[in-house]
Amino acid sequence: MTANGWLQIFFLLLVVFLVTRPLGGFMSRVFGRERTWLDPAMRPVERILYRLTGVDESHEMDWKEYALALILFSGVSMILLYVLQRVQQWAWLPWNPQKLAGVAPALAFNTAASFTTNTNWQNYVPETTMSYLTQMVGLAYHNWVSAAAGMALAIAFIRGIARREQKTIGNFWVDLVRGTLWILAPLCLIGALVLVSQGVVQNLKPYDTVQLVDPYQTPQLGADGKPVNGPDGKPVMQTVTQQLIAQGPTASQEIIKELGTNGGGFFNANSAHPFENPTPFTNFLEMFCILAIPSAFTFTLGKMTGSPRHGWAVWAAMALLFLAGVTTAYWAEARGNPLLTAAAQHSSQHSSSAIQATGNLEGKEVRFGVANSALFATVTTDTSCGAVNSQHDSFTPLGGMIPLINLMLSEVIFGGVGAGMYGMLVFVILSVFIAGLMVGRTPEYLGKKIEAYDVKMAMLVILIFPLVILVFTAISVLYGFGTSAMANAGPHGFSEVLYAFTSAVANNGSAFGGLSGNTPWYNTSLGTAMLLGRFMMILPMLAIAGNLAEKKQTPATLGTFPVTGPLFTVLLIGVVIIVGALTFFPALSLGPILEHLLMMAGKTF
Amino acid sequence: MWREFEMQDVIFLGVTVLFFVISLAYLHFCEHVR
Repeated sequence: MTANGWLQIFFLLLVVFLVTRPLGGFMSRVFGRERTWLDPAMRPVERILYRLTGVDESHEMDWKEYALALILFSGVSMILLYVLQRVQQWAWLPWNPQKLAGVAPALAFNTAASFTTNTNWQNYVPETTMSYLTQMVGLAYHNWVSAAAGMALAIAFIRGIARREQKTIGNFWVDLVRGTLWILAPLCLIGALVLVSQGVVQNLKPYDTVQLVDPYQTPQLGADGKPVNGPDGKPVMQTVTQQLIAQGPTASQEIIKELGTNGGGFFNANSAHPFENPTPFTNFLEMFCILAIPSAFTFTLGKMTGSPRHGWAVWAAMALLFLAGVTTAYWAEARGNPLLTAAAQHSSQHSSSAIQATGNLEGKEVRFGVANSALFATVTTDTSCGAVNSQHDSFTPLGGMIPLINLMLSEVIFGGVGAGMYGMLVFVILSVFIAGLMVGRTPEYLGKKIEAYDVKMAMLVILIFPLVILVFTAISVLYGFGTSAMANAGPHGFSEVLYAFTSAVANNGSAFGGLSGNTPWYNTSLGTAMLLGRFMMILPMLAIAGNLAEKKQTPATLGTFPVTGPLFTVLLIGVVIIVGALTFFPALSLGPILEHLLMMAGKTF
Repeated sequence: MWREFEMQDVIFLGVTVLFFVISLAYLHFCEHVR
């Protein structure tokens, strides 16, 4: 680990901290329908949208109507995306200069579920599968609205806490539109232009063909994708003299990919691709964009509930968990693989790369190095982003375990746009409930009594998450249709499958790598897991919000557990870790922990 | 053009619709356990 690496980690956290108050305050004004400086530009657009869609912006919804609107909106959007992928090759549809074929049904289902749920898991190579039309109208559209829907849900939950003796928690359509127009649109416009200035491409050109400076030889592949052998039994070699360089409207999708914590790359290499993430500055900007809105939500929580210190207490819990994760990942990656270091010391190879003087660089972009790869991996899995600038599969067992643990904690360390906040609020309710049990009083949260129904719904949210992950993982590692897609054997292969389902259910979308997910089983099961992970957790969460909104405000007494100080922060961290650790420790033991122990004994996979 | 659609499309679209119908039932369940 280097001082430079630590400086970059703390600088990122500092900038995120500095933006939390202004952005969070702005968000509370937007969703509270107070006047903002963007009103002259956005209000007319908002009015036109409501007129076109017949939305009554003064109408308030109870939690059931709010949830119904979300379900219908998501269902229709998902079907439209599925159909668009299937028909993208139709000649009269625009923006398909590479004449890409329609997406296969199972893959189209997986992708539609993935982008509708803000997961953005990709079982395909974007530049050879999706037309520009599908990328822009289908996938980028979902990047926007799935993020806006997440923000709407978090705001609805916060309103449930803030309101007293009311049945309603807002209007889903209004929250969706205001989140899109006031928050995502201006930030994306500025961010996309900054990315373009750094070299991120933005065009509708066909792919470029360039002559290679240094042609190379490669085995010729047959129609079945396997190497063709000559009469002598040796592979027939061909000389490659040209390279196809993919183009496209990348910057506009890249910025919402980060700001909306979506994560689906325009290119297969995601944020390791120089057209998506060309400079150290864009790397920093992308990590900042991933964290900005989730972090700002903590201030929005404090402001809308009239308890700013509570918002900062939640922020502190998130920041401490973030630092714990990045420290472990950075330490593990900077340390490298001890087997390689030992082997190099016992041989004639004493070069700095052989003894891993710069840490474990396998699967990492050299221009980002170990610190920025470990930091990016932590940021993207703390949130529900899923963008990657390195291959998590190539991390050391303990380094790779950190992204996995972040996902298993339900991505509440800043979390997804909106999703992180409402996920954390469920843990807050559990923390308050546990504190109430410890002192023998009815638990209260910001003046609202937490009762049996709230805890039942919170437990539903907590239990569905591991249930879906563990059941699908168990099925996948028991049968050939699951194990045949694994690239590695033993605990590493198990980690690949466990990571895939955890990423899907947590709506993260980052891939550990190594798993060939484009199979009928994984397309269908991962797609289903994403849908269950999104909607089966959102509905009980909204039920809690609706129930809290109806409650009376109870004045705080000496026996009320304060949710504004360090004690609350520590308790919240404890609950998040204990729930995650207890639930997933056996699975982690079979995966990265066992792999680490075997590595120390000299066995790798 | 529409001939390119196949039985798998019917299955996946059916599964999608079914999922969202189940979500509505789940919504009712969350209200009912109150």
